[in-house]
Amino acid sequence: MRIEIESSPNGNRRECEVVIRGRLSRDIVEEISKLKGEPDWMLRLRLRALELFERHPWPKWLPLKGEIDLESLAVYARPNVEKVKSWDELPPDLKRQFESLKIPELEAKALAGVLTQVDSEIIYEKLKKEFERLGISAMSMDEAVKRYPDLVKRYFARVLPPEYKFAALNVALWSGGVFIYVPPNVKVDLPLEFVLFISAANIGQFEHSLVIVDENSSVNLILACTAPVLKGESIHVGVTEIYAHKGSRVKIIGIKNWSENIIYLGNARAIAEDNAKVEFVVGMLGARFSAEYPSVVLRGRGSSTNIFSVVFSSGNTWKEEGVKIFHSAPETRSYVISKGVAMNGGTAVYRGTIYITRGSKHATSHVVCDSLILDEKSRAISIPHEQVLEETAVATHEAYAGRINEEALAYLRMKGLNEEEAKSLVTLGYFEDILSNLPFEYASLFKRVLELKIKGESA
Amino acid sequence: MNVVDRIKGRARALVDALPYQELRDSPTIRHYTDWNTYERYNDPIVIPPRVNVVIPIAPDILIVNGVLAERKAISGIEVLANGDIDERDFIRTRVEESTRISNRLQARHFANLLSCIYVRIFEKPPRPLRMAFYYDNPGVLMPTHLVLDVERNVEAYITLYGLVRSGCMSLTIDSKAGDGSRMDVMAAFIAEDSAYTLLSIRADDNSCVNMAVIGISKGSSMFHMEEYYVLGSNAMLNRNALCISLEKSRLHEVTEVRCRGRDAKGKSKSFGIVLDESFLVIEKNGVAERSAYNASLNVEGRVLPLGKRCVGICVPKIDVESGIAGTARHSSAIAPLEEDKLAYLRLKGFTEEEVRQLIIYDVMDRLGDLLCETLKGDYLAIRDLALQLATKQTKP
Repeated sequence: MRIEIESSPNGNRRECEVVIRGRLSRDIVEEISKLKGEPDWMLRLRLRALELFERHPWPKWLPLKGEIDLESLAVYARPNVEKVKSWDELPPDLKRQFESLKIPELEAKALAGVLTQVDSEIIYEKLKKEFERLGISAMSMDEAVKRYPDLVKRYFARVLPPEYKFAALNVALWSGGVFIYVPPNVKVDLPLEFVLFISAANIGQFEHSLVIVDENSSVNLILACTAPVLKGESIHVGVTEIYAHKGSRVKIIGIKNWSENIIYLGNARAIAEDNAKVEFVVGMLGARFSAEYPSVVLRGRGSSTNIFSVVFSSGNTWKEEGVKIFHSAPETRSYVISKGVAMNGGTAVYRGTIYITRGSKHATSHVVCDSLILDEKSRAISIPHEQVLEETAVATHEAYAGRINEEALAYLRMKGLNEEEAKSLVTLGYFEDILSNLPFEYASLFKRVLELKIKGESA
Repeated sequence: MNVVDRIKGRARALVDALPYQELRDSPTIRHYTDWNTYERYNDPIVIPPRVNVVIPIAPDILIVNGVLAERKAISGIEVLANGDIDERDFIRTRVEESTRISNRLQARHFANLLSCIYVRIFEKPPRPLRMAFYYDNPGVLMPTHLVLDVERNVEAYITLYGLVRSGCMSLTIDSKAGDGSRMDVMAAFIAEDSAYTLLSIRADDNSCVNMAVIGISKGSSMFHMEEYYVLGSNAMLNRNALCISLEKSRLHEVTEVRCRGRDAKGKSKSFGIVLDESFLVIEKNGVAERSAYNASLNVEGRVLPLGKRCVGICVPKIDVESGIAGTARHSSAIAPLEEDKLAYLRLKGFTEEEVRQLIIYDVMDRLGDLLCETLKGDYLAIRDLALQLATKQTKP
C-alpha cells in the first residue's frame, strides 16, 4: 500500500508508507497487529477491545455525536521515515518542524531523553547514556511489547481498562506511544519528553503510553502535542497509563498545542501505591474539541496527587478539562487547581469527580476550578461531583466563573498599559499557579504561546 | 370537564411514555434517587380517608392525604380549589400552564391529582399564610398541586408545612412573585415515609424572594426539588436550607437557580446533616443566562456526615452563558466535625448522642436567625418537632 495524504494547506505533502482506513472491523485490527509483528496475546487484547468498543454506548456527556466519522479516517498511518537517533537523520521539513519547537535545543540542555511520534509511529528515540546506565528503559510501546512482554502484560490496559467507548477504541487500534520503566530507588533528575505530531488531515492517532515507576523512584515526563493547521480534521485518542509503586514520585506535564483542526480525547490514569505521589500539569491550548480528565486511583495509604490544569478556549471551540480521583485508602490526599479561559465564543468546561470510598480514613480532597470569560460570546460551565462514603474524610470544592477583574484592569490602565496589554497581563497572572509548576524552559515557552494567543485573538 | 380532569387526562397519556430519569446523575451513580421506591406506592383509586391531624401550627389551608380539608378566609388572600378554578379564564390558564410534565413521577402526580389549589395574595395579609400538608395513608401516592401568586408590590409571609406519617406525599407548588413584591417563605417538609416535592418560583422585576427550607427524611426516600427563575431585573433570591437524612433514608435535594434579569441576584445555600446509614445528595445548578447582565450567582452546599455508614454527595454546578452575565461562585464541602471540637464536647461530659443533638440544634437555630420576625413563631413551633425527630427523641 502506498497512499499520499495531504498534510498542510500550503501544498506541502508528506508521504505515508502505509495507510489503513475503512470500516472498523476485525480485519483492520488484525492488519495493524500483523504490520507490527505483534505476539498473539496482544492481538487477542485488541480484538477483545474492539468487541467492547462496539458494545459500549456513545458517551452522552460528549457534545460530539455524529462529528466523528471513523471510516473517513486513516486509523493507521506509518510515516515514510525510519526511526532515527539523531535529528540530522530526519527529513529536512520534519527537522525544521521540531527545531521550531526548540526540541533539539531543549534535549541538549534540559532533558534526559526524547521520543517523537509522527502520526502512528515513533520516528525518533533517544535516552541519554547516563540515564540508560541507571537501568531506565524508555522506548516505543511497540518495541516494549516485544522486549518486555511480561511487564507490558501486567500493566497494559490494566490501569485504564477499555471501560468506555474511546478507551476501548484506543486499545483496539493503538499504535505508538512510549514505554518508560524506572527501576527501584532511581531518581531521574531531568525530565523525559514525548512529542506527538499529527502531520496530515483525516488521520486518527491512537498512541498508548505506559509509565511504570518502581519503589522509591521518581520521573518527570513531558507530553508535548502539536499539529500544523490542516485542511481537514484529524483525531487524537490517546491513553497514558501510569503505575506509581510504593514511595515513588511521578510528574506528567502535558502541553497540548494542537491546531484548530484537531479533536482531542485524552485518557490518562495513574494508580498510586503507599506514599506514592502523582502530579499532573496540563495545559490545553489548541484543538477544536478537547476532553481530558486525568484520573488517579489513590490505592495506597498516604498516597497523594496534585493536578493543575489550564484550558484556553477561543473561537468556535469546546474544551473540557477535569479530574477523576478515587480515594481508596486511608490518609490519601488530592489537591486540584483547574483554570479555564474562554474568549471569542469559546466554551470552557470543568467536569470532575472526587470519590472517597468507605474506609479511606482521614482522606482529604480540595478542588479549585475557576473560569474567566473574556467576552459576551463565550461561556464557562463547571460540573463537579463529590461523593464521600467515609465519615472522617474531607472533600471541599470552590469555584468562580465570570468576567475579568475590572478593578485590576483599571489599575493597569492607570499605570499606562493599553486595554490589550492589561487584559493579557491579568490573564497571565490568572495562570500563575500552573506556570509555577512547569520547568523553567517550558514555563517561558508556555507563557509566550499564551501571550500570543491572548493578543492575537483579542486584537 | 373541569381543569383538574383536563390536567389528569393529559398526564395519563404520558405515564407510560416517560422514564423517571433519562440521563445518569454521575459517572459512578446512575440515579441518586431510587425511583423504584415510588413504584411501591399505589395510585389513589379511592379518595383517601380523613385522619386525625396533629401538627404544631394552626393552618389556614389544610390538605389531608392530598385532599383539601380546611380553608379559612384571610383578608388579602383569595383561595380557589378544584372546580372553582374554572370560574375565571386567566386563573384556569395560569393553573394549566403551571403543570409541566417531564418525567414519569410528574406524569403519575398529575394523572392522579387529588386536589388542585390556586392561592392569590393581592394585598399584604394581616398575618402569615399557613398551609399544612398532612399524610397518613400507608402505601398510597397522594398528589396535590398548588399555584401561589403574589401580586405586584405585595408583601407576603408564607409558612408551608408538610408532614408525612405514612404513604407518599407528592406535592408540586408553582409560584410567582410579581413586580416589586416581597415573598418570605418558611417551608418545612418532614417525611417518616416517602415524599416527592417540587417547588418552582418565578421572581419578576425588583421582587425579592427569601426562602428558608427544612427537609427531614426519616423514611425511605425524599426527592425535593426547587427551581428558581430570577427573571426580572434587580430581582433577588436568598435561599437557605437545612437537610437532614436519618436511619436508612435517601434524601436528594436539587436546587436550580436561573438568573435571567439584569442585575439579578441569586443565592442558594444548603447545609446537610447525614446520620446513621442514610444517603444525602445536595445538587445545585446555577445558571447565569446570556441576558443576565451584571447578575451575581452563588450556590453552596455543605454536608456534615455524622453516621457510621452514611454517604454524602455534593454536586454544585454552574453555567455562565456569557462574559457580560456577571459572576458565579459555587462551593461545596463534605467534612466531618472537627475532632478538637468533638473532643472538647466529650470532655465536658456530653455523650455522642448529646453532641449530635447539640449540633442539630445549633444548625437549626442559625437557620432560624435568618428568618424575618413574622415567621419566627411558626419556625419555633416546627423546629421543636423537627428536633424531636432528628435527634431520636420520643415521637411527638
